[in-house]
Amino acid sequence: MSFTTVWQAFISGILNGAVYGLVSIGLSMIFGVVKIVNFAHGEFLMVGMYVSYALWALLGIDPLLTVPLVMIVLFFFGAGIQRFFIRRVLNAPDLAQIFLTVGLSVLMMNLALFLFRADFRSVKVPYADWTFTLAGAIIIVPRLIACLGAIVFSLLLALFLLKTDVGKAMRAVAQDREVSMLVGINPERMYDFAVGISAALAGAAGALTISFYFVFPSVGVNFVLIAFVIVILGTLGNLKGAFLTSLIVGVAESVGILFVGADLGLAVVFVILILTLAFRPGGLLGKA
Amino acid sequence: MLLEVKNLSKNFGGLKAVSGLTFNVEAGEICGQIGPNGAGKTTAFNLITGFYQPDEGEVWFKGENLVGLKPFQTCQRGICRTFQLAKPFRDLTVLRNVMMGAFLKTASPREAEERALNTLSFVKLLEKKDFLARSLNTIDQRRLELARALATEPTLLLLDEMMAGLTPREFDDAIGLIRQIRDRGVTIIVVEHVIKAILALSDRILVIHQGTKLAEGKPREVMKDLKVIEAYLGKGYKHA
Amino acid sequence: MAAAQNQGPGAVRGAGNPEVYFPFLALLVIIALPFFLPIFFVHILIMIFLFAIVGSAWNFIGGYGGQLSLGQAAFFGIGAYASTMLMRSYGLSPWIGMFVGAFLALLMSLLLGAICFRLRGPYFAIATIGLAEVLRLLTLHFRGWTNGAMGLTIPFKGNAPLLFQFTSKIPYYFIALGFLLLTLYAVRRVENSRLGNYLLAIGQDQDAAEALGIDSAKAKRQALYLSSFITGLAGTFYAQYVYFIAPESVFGLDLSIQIALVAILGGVGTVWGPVVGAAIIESLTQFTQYAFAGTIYGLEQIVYATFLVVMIMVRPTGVIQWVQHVYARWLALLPGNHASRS
Repeated sequence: MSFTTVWQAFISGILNGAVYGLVSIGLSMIFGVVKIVNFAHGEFLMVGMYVSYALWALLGIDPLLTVPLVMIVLFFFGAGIQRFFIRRVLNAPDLAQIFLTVGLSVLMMNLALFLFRADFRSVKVPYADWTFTLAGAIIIVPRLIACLGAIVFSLLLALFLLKTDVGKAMRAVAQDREVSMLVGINPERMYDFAVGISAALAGAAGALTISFYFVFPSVGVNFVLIAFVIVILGTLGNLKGAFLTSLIVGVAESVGILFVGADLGLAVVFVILILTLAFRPGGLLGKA
Repeated sequence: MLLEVKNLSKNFGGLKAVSGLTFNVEAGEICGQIGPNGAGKTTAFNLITGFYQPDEGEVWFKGENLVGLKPFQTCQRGICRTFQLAKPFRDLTVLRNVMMGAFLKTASPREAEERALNTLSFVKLLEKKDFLARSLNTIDQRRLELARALATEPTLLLLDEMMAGLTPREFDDAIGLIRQIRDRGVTIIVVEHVIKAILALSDRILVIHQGTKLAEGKPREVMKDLKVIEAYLGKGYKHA
Repeated sequence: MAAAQNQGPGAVRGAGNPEVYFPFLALLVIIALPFFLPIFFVHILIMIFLFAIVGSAWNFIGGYGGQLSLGQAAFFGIGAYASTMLMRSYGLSPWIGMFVGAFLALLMSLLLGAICFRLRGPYFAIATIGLAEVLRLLTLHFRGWTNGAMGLTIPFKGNAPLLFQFTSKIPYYFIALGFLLLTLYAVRRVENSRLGNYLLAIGQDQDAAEALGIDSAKAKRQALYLSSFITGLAGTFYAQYVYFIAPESVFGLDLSIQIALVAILGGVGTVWGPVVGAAIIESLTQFTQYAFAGTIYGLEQIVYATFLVVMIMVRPTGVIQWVQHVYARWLALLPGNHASRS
């Protein structure tokens, strides 16, 4: 196990982690604002991938350029899901809410299967094989772009939440729904925004990764499981925690793979989850 | 000496809720505790029963230091408390609520039911045994809270502000009931704001202020103590 | 039955009362069914029984215990793999292997309980998902032992009752039915016991329960042990019935979700909820698979998921109350000495 190998794993981990982060902060935000666990979140990423793929396949547009459009489409898609489905179970038992999103997840996955078949599709871009090295670690350019994109969008989200009125309103609803109504905020509207924005972020993650990842109907499942681990470890609803934890989990996964092999990468993540929760039931940053 | 609280302290991020609190309770007595809001009386209950862990101090009960035990463990050792804001099992019947307490002493549902019925009869809530707990009014909810605690057959009972807002008739009933509980051999600590209740019930009174014991003694003596009057009622009320 | 609890003081409970004779008749019909129905329907009923069993087992921890478990497949898979591997390697009869598997599942739940019991809500749920996923991935990984993704087959020995194998579906039917009735009986017993009452209290208000001397962690752990043991047994049954197990089919997240769904759709925390839920979900699954599988990609899952989404939106608390209502109406229509209405 040379230093280079570990360093390579570390860099890979950071690159992966940033993308996980983009997916996770959306998931965490939905929980923080709407107070619901969205099992269908991976499918937002999947839809984003397919939209980007379609634009590339039909119109020849480079996936990175499709990102803004994908985000807009996913925003309305997410808000639509909120309005037509999630809203109806907000007063139902938690179990029902979770299973609604589970049902939506299965539905979306299989609609994709029905429409696009199970084929693993991929996108070919001219810069797919460009690399450069950083102190001995090889970085593939598309992955780097995805990582940078993820960081940029996460920062934009942070700015949005801190500086804009809508962002502040969303944070208000997350803190105290009743009181936010007293100051004239419409929680329902904020839910639409929260799910819409989160979906847009997940979609962006999809479009960013499509140049080096395969597109297939159940691609969301792996992402969502890791996202759940991250969101829980980073404490539900804590967005900074989610992003930081994403990087940690990304690195842990990559380094873990060095020891146990790629097929057990997800297992490493889960073992970390279980051990962490055993000693810190509130997550890495939460109350012990 | 049934209960010995020694130098109990608890901070909540800079706020000293309880600070060096020390007092004893003798078996068979009713010990009254008064003090302004925020004096730390309920926090003390939480510390004794294990809902909070103290930063410092010890709680000796039947020869054992209770610090570090969880709430269910202190209850199993014979200390049961009521909550200031009653916490009934809302969707369950009154009878079933009380059975939950009775199960501490028996594993048999039939026996638990019998004991629960007896306890309900004692607190005069028997006619409402099949009512859902959430449908009770506040007074009855307190009665239920008391019945549930009694069903655990405690050695020491901690009552947290049971007497607020009662009509004169209800007040007398409550006083009588609490005295009957003591006559059955249960030691009681009563936390109250209603001075009349404290005077009627207590064998001894503790005045708690800013998390520590301000005064202690027989009821009349304590009430005359100037310091107490000031702390409780504010300066300017010398002739309480 | 729930309706029986509403009897007035002067109710007649003799054989003439439909509340008494109808369940008895229904049981006779259920016993006779496999001899008349086409094999496909017998298969559906067996799957309904199986899922009612694991759904009821889920109910102990998820319904009465109030902790959402999305990892029941962990216990199911342990049961399935334990008995299968013991049989393939040592010829051990699955009747014995079943209990070995169930005990191993119990041990696993001990571990889960020790590590994860301070967790609430989604935190606990994700930990259970993690447990099942880790087991699935490990099973996939150590293919020297488990044959990895290719799975393990039960060696076919013809009709071999002592080895838990039958050439006809009918013995499986009765084993599953018996198992289900025992499980329902266990649920009923626990419901009325101190443990059941304690779980009820904890679900209402955990702090108030603790103040009454209730060790909530211990109660939930006991519910988890019951849950894991029964689910482990069911895993062996499944292996012996379908003759083939693979990591995805017995440890998969889909399975865990389906198990939880059976109880949630039917009605959590009730005796008959999982039975109703299993009847609905398994009929739906088997029918859509039969009608659509292999013809149009994913269509059976789309139908299934749509139904699920609609049901949850329409009846988020489960269908058991509606079913009980319909059942009461049905009983009222039957001839016989009805109870006096109080």
